Amino acid sequence: MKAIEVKQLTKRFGTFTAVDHISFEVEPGEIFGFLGANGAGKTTAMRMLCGLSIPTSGEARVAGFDVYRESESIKRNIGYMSQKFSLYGDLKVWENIRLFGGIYGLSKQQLSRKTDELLDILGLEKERNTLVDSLPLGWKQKLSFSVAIIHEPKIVFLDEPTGGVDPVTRRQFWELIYEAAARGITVFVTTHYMDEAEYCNRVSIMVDGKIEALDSPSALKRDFKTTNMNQVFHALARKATRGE
Amino acid sequence: MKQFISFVRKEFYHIFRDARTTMILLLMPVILIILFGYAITTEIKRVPIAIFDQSRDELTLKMTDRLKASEYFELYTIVDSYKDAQALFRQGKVHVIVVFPPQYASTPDAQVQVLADATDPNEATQLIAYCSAIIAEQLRGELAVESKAVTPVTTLLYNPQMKGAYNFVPGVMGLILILICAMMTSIGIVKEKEMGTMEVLLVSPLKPIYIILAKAIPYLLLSMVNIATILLLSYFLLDVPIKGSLLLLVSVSVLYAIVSLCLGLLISTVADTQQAAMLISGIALMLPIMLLSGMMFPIENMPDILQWFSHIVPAKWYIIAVKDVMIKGLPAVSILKEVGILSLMAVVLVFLSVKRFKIRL
Repeated sequence: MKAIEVKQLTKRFGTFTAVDHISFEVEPGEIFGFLGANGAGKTTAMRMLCGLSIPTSGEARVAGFDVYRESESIKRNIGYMSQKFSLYGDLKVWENIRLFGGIYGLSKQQLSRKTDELLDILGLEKERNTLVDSLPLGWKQKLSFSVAIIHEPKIVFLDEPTGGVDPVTRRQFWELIYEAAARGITVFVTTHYMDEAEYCNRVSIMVDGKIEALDSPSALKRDFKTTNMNQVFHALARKATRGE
Repeated sequence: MKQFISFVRKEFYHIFRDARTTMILLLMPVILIILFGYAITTEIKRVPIAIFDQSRDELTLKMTDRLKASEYFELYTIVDSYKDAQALFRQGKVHVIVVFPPQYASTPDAQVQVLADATDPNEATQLIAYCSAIIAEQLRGELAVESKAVTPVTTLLYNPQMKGAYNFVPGVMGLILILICAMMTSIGIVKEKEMGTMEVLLVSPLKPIYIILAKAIPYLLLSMVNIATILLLSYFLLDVPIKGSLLLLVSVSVLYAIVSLCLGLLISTVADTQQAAMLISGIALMLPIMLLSGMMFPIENMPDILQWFSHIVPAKWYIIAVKDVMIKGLPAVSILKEVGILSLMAVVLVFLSVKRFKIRL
């Protein structure tokens, strides 16, 4: 079974077609990069897969469940980290962990074990009682990712998870992603940092609501006869007619 | 259920971590009650008065004494001419001038003139009424034997001392509940939208209805604390009695709080920023309550269109119900209409806002 299966998925807002007949598949355990300029339709597509928005037409199955009829089942099997910060700044680190663990129905024992484990991996034991607001952005993002996969979902959706941090911090963040993928969690990530695109197993590039390219970063570089993803992206994005 | 409890707990953290807002929310009813009870009052007390006495006979001197002795008036000065009197008015030194004509006592159909500053018409009407009453009473005493005129005996029901508190305490309750329940709930929900946490919650298996309920419960409890504060203050500080059933009073308040919560929820589906939510609750809820609930201005005197509009202000019905139960001591049967209207409003609002909330998913 594929982790994600999308066929001719479309979303229209009035006369505007935000997502225009896109089709792709994501394998279990894969790190799938979903690239595109602002306004290309990535977030809309991702929202449909998460059950936040109902497609206008087309088919999509996430973790084997239909997005139209089985969104409740999808919600139990996915994790989500939003573009804006997904934790509560006025709650302490452990309170955030407990809250999201509680929402996903973790038992008391599971929760306390997970909390210790998670703080240990992130090196945040000392910050257990710190308000999340006072953590540096990079730490917040790592914590936010760990909380998004606290219930060991089949798939985790990351919407521009590393906005605003430097490449070194991004690299550290990606180590967490690799660990999750190694455990079998499928990672679906949108980004517009091309160094991140290089870390993905496969990437798709969206332009004006359509998927214009889909392959591994190395294959794409070969096809476009360049040495970096930046040039691949610009070659495609130049065709865009939609502004921001 | 466990999910729900961990979520309600989080809402309480939000409220108590924001110490400043919480202080404001808890102190606001205290400040409002003290303000309305002691500072902002429509009761007439010690209004400066001037007397232009052209006759200076025994009767007019007695009347002057009576006016001086009344707690409503304070003699500013005795003037000797209309010119002086008008000068006092212009300077705003006095609000009322009583003019006694020459040879008042010996002229059979002589009349006393009362001049009042009508820039505040309500006050002027009240002042004239009080003034005439005092003079008439004195006159009756003097001419008791000859007077055959019918003297009406008035009894003021429910509020014999005509205390303003009897009117504004229910008003303040209506105001506070809307403020806490509608404004704070809408801000709380919109804040999650603004911060991006709402998306994370909607992607989670948590049902939207639980998200809404969890937001509402802490504010419902907080508003009940406020109602208790108001009732205690008004009972012990302002001597406003609670004549009817306390249980009934609290039940009506909970019903009204639920209507307010639904309003807040509806606002949160319309507003995209916290400022917008605050502005909408401020203008769309607070103003109508102040102006159209009967708290400050009598609805009966308004043009028809405003009277119609006042019917959809929930506070109006709540205030009527609170007055009936608290001040008049009426039983539950007598507020069936108000309870019915508030319940209907709650149902309609729940329907509207849940529908709108779903569309957003």
